[in-house]
Order: sequence, then C-alpha cells, then structure tokens
Amino acid sequence: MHQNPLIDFLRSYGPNAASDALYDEHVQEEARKHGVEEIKISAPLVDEIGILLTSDSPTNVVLTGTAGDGKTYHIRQVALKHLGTRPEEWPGEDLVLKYSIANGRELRVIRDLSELPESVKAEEIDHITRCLLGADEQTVYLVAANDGQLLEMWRSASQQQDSPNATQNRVYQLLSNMLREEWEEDERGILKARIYNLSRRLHPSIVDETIDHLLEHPRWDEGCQGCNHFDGEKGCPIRRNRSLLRGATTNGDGRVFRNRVRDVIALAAANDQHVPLRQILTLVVNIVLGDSEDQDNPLLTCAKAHERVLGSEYSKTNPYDNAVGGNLADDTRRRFTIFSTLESYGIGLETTNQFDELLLRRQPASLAEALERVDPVYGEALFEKVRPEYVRGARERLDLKSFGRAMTSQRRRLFFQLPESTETGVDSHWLLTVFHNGGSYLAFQKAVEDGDSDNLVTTITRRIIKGFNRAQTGMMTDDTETLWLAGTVGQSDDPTGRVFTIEEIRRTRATGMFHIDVVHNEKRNRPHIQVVSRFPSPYEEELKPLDVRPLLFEYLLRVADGSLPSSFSRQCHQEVKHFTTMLRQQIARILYDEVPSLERVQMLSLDSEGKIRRDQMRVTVQ
Amino acid sequence: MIRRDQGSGVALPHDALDLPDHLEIGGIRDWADYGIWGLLLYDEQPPWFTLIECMHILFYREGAHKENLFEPVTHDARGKLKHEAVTYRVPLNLGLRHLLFRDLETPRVATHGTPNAQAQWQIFAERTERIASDLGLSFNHLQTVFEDVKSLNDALDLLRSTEVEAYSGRRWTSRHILPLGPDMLFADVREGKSEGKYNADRRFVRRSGEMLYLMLGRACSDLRKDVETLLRQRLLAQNTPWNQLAKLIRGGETTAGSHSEQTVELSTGYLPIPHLPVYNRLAQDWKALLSLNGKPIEDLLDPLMRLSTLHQTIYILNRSQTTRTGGPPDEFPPFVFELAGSARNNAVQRISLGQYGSHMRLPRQGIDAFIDTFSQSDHWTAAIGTSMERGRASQTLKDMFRWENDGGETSGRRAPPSHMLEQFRASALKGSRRSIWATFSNQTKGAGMAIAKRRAGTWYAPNDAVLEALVLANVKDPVELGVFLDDLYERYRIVVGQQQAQRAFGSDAAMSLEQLKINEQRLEHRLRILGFVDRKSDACAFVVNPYYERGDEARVEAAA
Repeated sequence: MHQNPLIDFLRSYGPNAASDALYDEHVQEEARKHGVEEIKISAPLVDEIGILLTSDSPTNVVLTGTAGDGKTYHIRQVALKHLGTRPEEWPGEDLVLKYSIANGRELRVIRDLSELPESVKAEEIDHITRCLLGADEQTVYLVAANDGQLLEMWRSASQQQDSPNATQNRVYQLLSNMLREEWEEDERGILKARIYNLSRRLHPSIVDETIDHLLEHPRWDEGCQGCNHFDGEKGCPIRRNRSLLRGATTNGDGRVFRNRVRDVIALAAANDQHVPLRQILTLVVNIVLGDSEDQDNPLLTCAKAHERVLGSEYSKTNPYDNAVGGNLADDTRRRFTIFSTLESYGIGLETTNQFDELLLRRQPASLAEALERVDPVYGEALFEKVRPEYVRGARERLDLKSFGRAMTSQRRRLFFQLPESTETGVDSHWLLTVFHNGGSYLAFQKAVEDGDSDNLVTTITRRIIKGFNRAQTGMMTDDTETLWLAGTVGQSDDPTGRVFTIEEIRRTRATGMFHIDVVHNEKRNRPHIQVVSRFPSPYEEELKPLDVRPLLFEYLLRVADGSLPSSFSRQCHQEVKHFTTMLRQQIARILYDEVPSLERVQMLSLDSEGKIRRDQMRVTVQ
Repeated sequence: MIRRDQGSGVALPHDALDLPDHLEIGGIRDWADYGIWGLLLYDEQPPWFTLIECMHILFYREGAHKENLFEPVTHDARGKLKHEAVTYRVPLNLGLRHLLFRDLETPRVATHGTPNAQAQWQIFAERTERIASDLGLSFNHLQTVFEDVKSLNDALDLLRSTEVEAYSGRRWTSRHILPLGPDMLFADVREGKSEGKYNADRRFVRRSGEMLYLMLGRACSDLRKDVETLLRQRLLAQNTPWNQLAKLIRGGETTAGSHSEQTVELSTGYLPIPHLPVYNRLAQDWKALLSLNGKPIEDLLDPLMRLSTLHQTIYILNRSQTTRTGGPPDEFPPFVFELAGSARNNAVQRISLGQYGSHMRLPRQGIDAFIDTFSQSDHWTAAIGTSMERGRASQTLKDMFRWENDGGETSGRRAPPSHMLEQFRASALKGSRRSIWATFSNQTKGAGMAIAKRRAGTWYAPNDAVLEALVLANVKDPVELGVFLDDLYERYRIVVGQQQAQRAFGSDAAMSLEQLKINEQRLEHRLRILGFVDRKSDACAFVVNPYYERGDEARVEAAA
C-alpha cells in the first residue's frame, strides 16, 4: 500500500511530541529518518541576532520564551548561518559552545541555561553576571532559557545561604523588571544585554507563513503520487482535511477555516494565553491527521486513512472536532495550551435558534447549500443519519447522547466555515462560543490599532461605557456618553456603589473636564481606555487606563445587553473595581488634593430616561 | 525566670516591664495569662472593634494636640524601662448614635410624612422630643442643616452604610461605624438603669485595641514616626466628608458646653515585653498600607484590621512559644494556609488542621511552663518546706497570681502545697471562655484567616479579604509569585507552597508535595480572580499590587 513519508514525519509534530528539552533535535532526527525536509520556520530574528553578535561591538543576547517558541531553533540557525558551524557539527558534545568573534572576543553560546549541570552552573552564572553588568567586555554570551528558569537561576544564585550575593540580586532585579515590563533593552543601560522574548515576537505573519510551509510542503504532491486515494470520489481524509484548511475548494478568498483558526489564536493572545509556535504546528497537524477512534493513537497514518476511505468512516476524522482536540484524551488535551484554550471557548456548546434551524431544517437554503459546496464530506453526509429522527419527532428512537454529539460537531463546522455574518445576515459565528463578542473584539482591536474606523470604535465604546456604568452602579442605566466612577464608603461586600465624589468623564472631548481616549497599547497589543483631563497640568501623573482584554470586553458588553455572565463576572468585576478605585483617587488628587469636601459628595440615581443623574447631599454647611 | 512586679507583686516573666502605675488590678483574678500576654487580649472583642479602640486613642491624642501620637517607653531616673501611661477620652456621641442605631422615627417621617418640609420637621420634633430630653440634648439644629427630613434620612443611611460588624445584633451602645473622623467615634458603653448614665463596662471593647496601640508604639522609632506621619496625613488630620456629615448631625452636642460629661475616660492596659520583632512587622504593614495613595483611607481600614489581628495572633503564639521553651521569638509552628476552603480529599487541609490544633494547645503549654518555672523559683521554694507552709503557699499564690482556692474537701489551707499548686495549674488551664486560646480562636476566625466546618474542624483557610490585605501590604513593584510566597513565610510564618513547606518542616517531612503544589496554584488562581496576578508565561507569574504607585514612599518621606 502506498505511503507518503511526509505523513509519518508530520506525526512527530502532533500532540504526542517528545519532551520539551530535546524537541529541536527530535524534529531534526525525524526529518532525517523519513528523508523529508523539516518544516521551515520563519525566524526573522536570526539575522538580527547574527548581526548583533558578529558586529564590532557585540552585545550579549538572552533568548527567552515559552517552551515551543523556538529558542533552540533560533540558536541553531544563528550558529549555522552566522557563526560558521557546519550542520554535521551541530549540536556537538559541549554544553557551552565557544566562538572567536571580532576584536579577539570570545562568544559563549548556551542553548539551554537550565540544562547546565550544577558543577559548572554557579561559575557560568557568575561569568554571565559579570558580562551583563559590563565588568567583562572580552566575553559575549548568547543564552536561552524560559523566563521562569532565567529568574529562578539568578534568584537562587543571589540567595545562597552562606553568602547572599548582592551583584546577582541586582541582575535578578533588572531581569525581572525587564521581563515584567517587556523591555528588550534596559532603558538605563545598566544591564548590557538584548532580551528577546520569542513569545512576544511571534507576529501573526510568522504564524501564517509557518502554517503555509506545513500545508504547502513539496512532499504533499510528490509523496502522494501513485496512491489510489489521491483523487478519489471522496478521497483520502488526510488530503481532504488539508484542502479544507487550505481553503482550496472554493473560488476566491475561501480561507474561512484558516482565518477562524487564526482568530481564535489571536483572541487567546489578547487574553494573555500565549500559544507557542510549536503548538500551532501541533494544532494544524491535529486538524489534518486527527482521528478519534483510539485516544492513545490519535493521528492517522496512510494505512489508517486507507481504512477510513474504505469504510467511509469520516465521522472519525472530522477536522472541526480535531481542531478542538476532540480526538484526544482529556489529560493530553489539557497539557496543551492550544487545546485547553480552545476547550475553554466551548465552541459548539453554545448556540442560537438560527444556527439550529440551519442545521436541522437547512434554512436558509442558500446558505446550507453554499456550506455543502465548501465541504461535502463532514456536513450533510454525516448528519443525515441522525437528523431525520429528530425532525420527524421520532423521539423514542432518538439516542440523545449521540444526537447531542452530532449537533456539537455540526455547530463546530459552522463556527469554522460560516461566512462572515455581514455577508449572510445570520448570527455571528462567535455566538457558538462563550465569547459571543469575540468577533467584535477583534474588529475593535484592529480598528483602534489602525485608526481607520471611527464609527466602529464609537459604537463599541458606547456599549463598553454602558456596561461599565451598569456594572459599577448596579443601575440599569442606558447612559453611553458619560463614564461614572462611583463607589461605596469603605470596602463593602456590595460590589456596586452610588456615592460619587469626582467629576463626570465624557466619552468625547467636547465638554467636561475629563474625557476618554481609546488608544492602542503597543506593549499589551490591545485597546486601552484612557481617561485624560482637558487641561492637564505638567505635574500630572498618567491616569490609570482600563486594559480591555477580551474577557473584560465580553463581560462589559454582556452586562450592557442586560445579562450577567456568572462564570467570569467576579474576576472582571474586580478589575473594574481596581480601575475605578485607583482612578477616583488619582482624579481626586487633581481636583482637590485627595479628600473631597462635603459639597462634593453626590448620590447617583436614574432619571426617567435611564440616564444617570447626580444629586448633592442637601445640607447647609455653615 | 520569674520575678515580681514592683508595685503589685504579681508574677512577671523576667524580661517583662513593671505594670504601669495607673493600672488598677484590684478586681483581677487568675493572673497567669496576663503575665505572659499582657492585659488584655479579649476573646469577645471582634477585630473591627480592636482597630476602632486603637483609633479612639489615636484620634484623642490628635484632638488633644499631643505632640506624639504614641507614647514611647522611656527610662526612669534609675535607667529602668518604664511602661507607658496613656489616658484617653472617647466621646459618647449619643445624638448621632441614637439616630443611627436606635431611632425609628426619621425614616417614618421621611417616607410617610407630608411633602411640606416645615410640617415634616414639626412632626420630627414632636416625635423625638422626649428621647432628646432623655439624652440631654436637642435635635433642633438639624432643621437648619438639612433641607428636609428625607435629606437627613439619606445622610443617616450613608453613614449607616459604613457600620462594621453590622447584623451582629449588639446593643445600640455597642454598634460602630468606620472611624473616619473624630465625630464618627462612639465609646462602647452600657446604658445605666437610671436615665442619662452610661458606663464603659468593657463588654465588647476591652483593651485589645489598647494592646494594638501599645504594640505600634513600641515599634522602632523610625517606623513609629512614619506611621505617625501617615496616620495624620491620611486620616487623623483629614477632614473627610463623612466626618463633616457626622459632625453636622452631631451639631449642637459639641457646642453644648457639657462636653466633659459626654465623654468616657479610660487608660491603657499592660503590654509586658518592651521590644519584639512582631511590633516592627505590625508597624511595617501599617506603613505599607497607609502609603497606598491609590486607595482611599476608608478602603484601607479593612486590610489594617485584618493584618493587625494577624499580628496579634502571631504575638500570642510567640509569647506562648517563648514562655514554653525560653527560645527566641518567631519559632512557633507555622501557619499553613489552605486555599480551597474545603476539607474533601485535601491533604493540605489536614496539615492546616493540625497546625491550628497545635496553636490552640500552645498557650496552655506556655502557661504550664510558666507555672513550672514558678514552682522552681525562690518565690515558691521559700514558701514551702517551712512549718507554716500551707498558709504561706496559699498566700504566695494569692499575691503573685491572684488565685485563691474556692474551697472543697481536699482544698484550701488544709491541702499540701504541691496539691495546691496542681489545683492552681488545673484552674489556669481549664478556662474555655475568657482564655487566651479562646481569643486566638475568635481572632483568627473573626479576621477571616480560619474557618470552622462541621465534622471537618477548624483550620487556616483565608478569605479573599485576607489575601488582598497580604498583597497590599507586601507587594510594591510586582514580585514573582515564588518571592511573594517566601515573603509570607518570612514575615508571618505562613506556608502555602512546596518550598515554604520544606523550609518549615524540613525536606524529609511526610507531606504531599503534589498537594502543596496544587495549593499554590489555587492561591494563584484566587489572586488572579482578585486582579493581583500578571502571568507572563507558563513558567513565570508576577503578583501585582494595582494600588501601588512609584511615588508613594517619596510622598511619605517628603511629609515627614
């Protein structure tokens, strides 16, 4: 039977991958074993680092990032492309690789700092410390470690029981500060190093290119030549899934599936759930090769794909289920950020009548047909076995459990394949997830960053304000033009408060002392709602912004729509509370040196139009 | 070693101060506890009332224009350290507290009365006339302050929203609001049988707050001065709008001239040991919290209350342990904080339960050891072995411990001294209420550090407010989660995760490290929900204090 060696090679990227530390070596070895070129990873930093190290005045480079972001890969590429290492010499026996560089300096390269044996660790850390503080300029380091390990090493070095080490503590503080603030260079120039955090450097275009490299690997066509299922009626599930993900079966820009995958990764990133590049490859491989028959063996081989075609068992290779790790054992799924994140989105577990109507009654027909054309294998063909029993009302014969599973799979198909709601007039596909407003978030994020869609930003800012005011005051207000920072007197179990001691904050600059700016924050890469005063004094500190993450966005918009999502409301409410308390204090300092006078105290209430009004305490102060 | 107080002759640890001169101990029995822990940490005083009692003294000293808020321990003429003598007055504030906690008429008039303001005031005056005269004051000034009775009622509602220990159902003279100014203070009193008599019976407010005040005052002088500056800057010298409101309602009372009748005079108790590290840590936490300009003072009182109580419980354990072993402070068995608040299949809960149990035993062991030391001291050995030994032994116990046998077959002066000593010991170890361990138990639960559940027992499972207080007081710039956990262990002997457990119990101790890891993750999870965690990656998380601003300390130093 025909076998494409690429498939066996791709399986090594799957969710059963080897241990973290040896991953790069593992992939190289698999590539050699199967005689396949490894997947090319876009790594624009390699040249930047190479140039830094080989220039006349080289700088120390620290590579950090989550396991799977390609630290070792980058170091290998730097060594091969810029330091003259030959491929067959890599990685060699030495844990510390030494090179001569410009002006008689020595470059020491450590692929994984945490791998150093205890015997040499202390000495090496000592040496790095001297270089980082500029005490030794004859040596330059290129080292990699994930952020936690990096800090841990200097923390424990500085806490040696017998002699607490101030120098190392200094480096610990500097490193910790830089990692926290996400600085690549020390502003004050004390720490002589460039710190590249590969997690933050993972630009969406890198992700896209790498997925392309995987899906467009030359061996796809070459290796499948001569296989019976290369161009069969329904065809090989592997090739089928790949082509669904490539979006090649439709005309024009039919990459809906891929775009949806990109969107969920983007939303995760905005929620501070970073998905390393390796796990993105794992996801793609799992979508294409996933098979749900045997959780211990969750990926297809050519032989198994052959069986699936013969038995027409496509329900087992459903790429939409694979995309959320449906073919994996629970603990495997949870081990991977990407799958646990997707699981937490609950894709297909939420729905609306419109979607269920579309699935059960194929209404609107034009849309149902269009979806069939995109994917004739995993839609009707699978669902027709269960649907009639439900539609005809033969409930007694209906196996509710398997019906529910089938519905969930079909809703997942909708999530990944439904055209944009603006094109169809159907609900947003995000309503099939817990992030009902996920699509709005991404649009808002982009509009704020690009600054080219004031209308969208305005509409959404109004909804945020409304939600904020409702969450804050506990009143069902419709006020979208003023942000009310109210509270209680003292900490209280009641999360809402109506005591108001500062000034209103307007949505626009037109009137009032304070107003809102919606700005894109580079560091966090998401929108911030920034309060600014109309006449800022030169001494004025920067007011604390509201950092709009997707979770908080979801909370505020749902509250604005009149519901209270209990599962994450507490966390979000705390965020709102911290923001409000802090900002009230800051504004109070601007207005009247912290403590307001009694005349300033006002109570908020609702007027007949749902707008918030404020009333002074009716007292005469002598 | 045990010595006798110079004035009263009661038993004291060798390193304790003599009692302050003003302290009247005539009515006191069973002295053993007080020698070790002082006079007095009281079991029925809730943590909020402890903070408020302490504020009573601070506001009094500010109002009386004392140069120092705290009275430092000084040396007497012979160079001996001398206990502070602090006397203070607390207002009865009867008019305001009547309207807040006893009056039913104001809301009635406000809601059912006529819309005519003048007529409303007329009804209000009629209905409150009798009580006003009983209280010896007048409510007439309210008409000139508030537009109508409804406004008065709104103002009272607002002040009432700051009540602490609300819903406890205490008498109206033992209800309190946040101490946000001198007009928001109420002496805790008993209403006498005859009209207009109120006496400080110390039923719910009995010296725990004075102890807190004394502990703060005994921190090293730099810290004490910083706390002084901050207290003035953030609270004592601030005219908060809430106090302005309280003052307006109080109105005539302060101008009535009979001010002296409207206060209660008190003087502070006894704190035996002049210097302890726990006093400094307490003051450090007050300083850290009061420095947070990002939070208004009214929001800082809750964490102040919780951490003050935490330090007082640490003090109890410290004194117990030192008395038992004679060793240095801060070597008591650590706290183990369990973060799920559930006893089901939870190894950490079982460790925590064990620690709580050993803490509850520790004060008894302290007393036991104190009595042992006494029994080997000259005071006791000189009394026995003489022909008059029964009488002298009995007298010694009476003089040094204010203990007398209350009769019985084999007791009294007829019993041999050794028997008498054991009777004394049994009585000292017996108490359930009014004992220092009852205080410990109520304090830890009252401050939200420990919970008691049926069948599962009592253990340390902090609530969110305690976690918040710990973050606010211990985090300035963000710190790694691991560093934060180390700080908790070093400053409070609180164990949460694996590493602290190994430091506390040794790496060989039979513990489920896996469960402690989970416990640590639970802490992170709870801190995240509270908005105090910034996770950078799967390997690195920072604990953040959103209220800390870089300039906070600079402001303190500039003001000092």
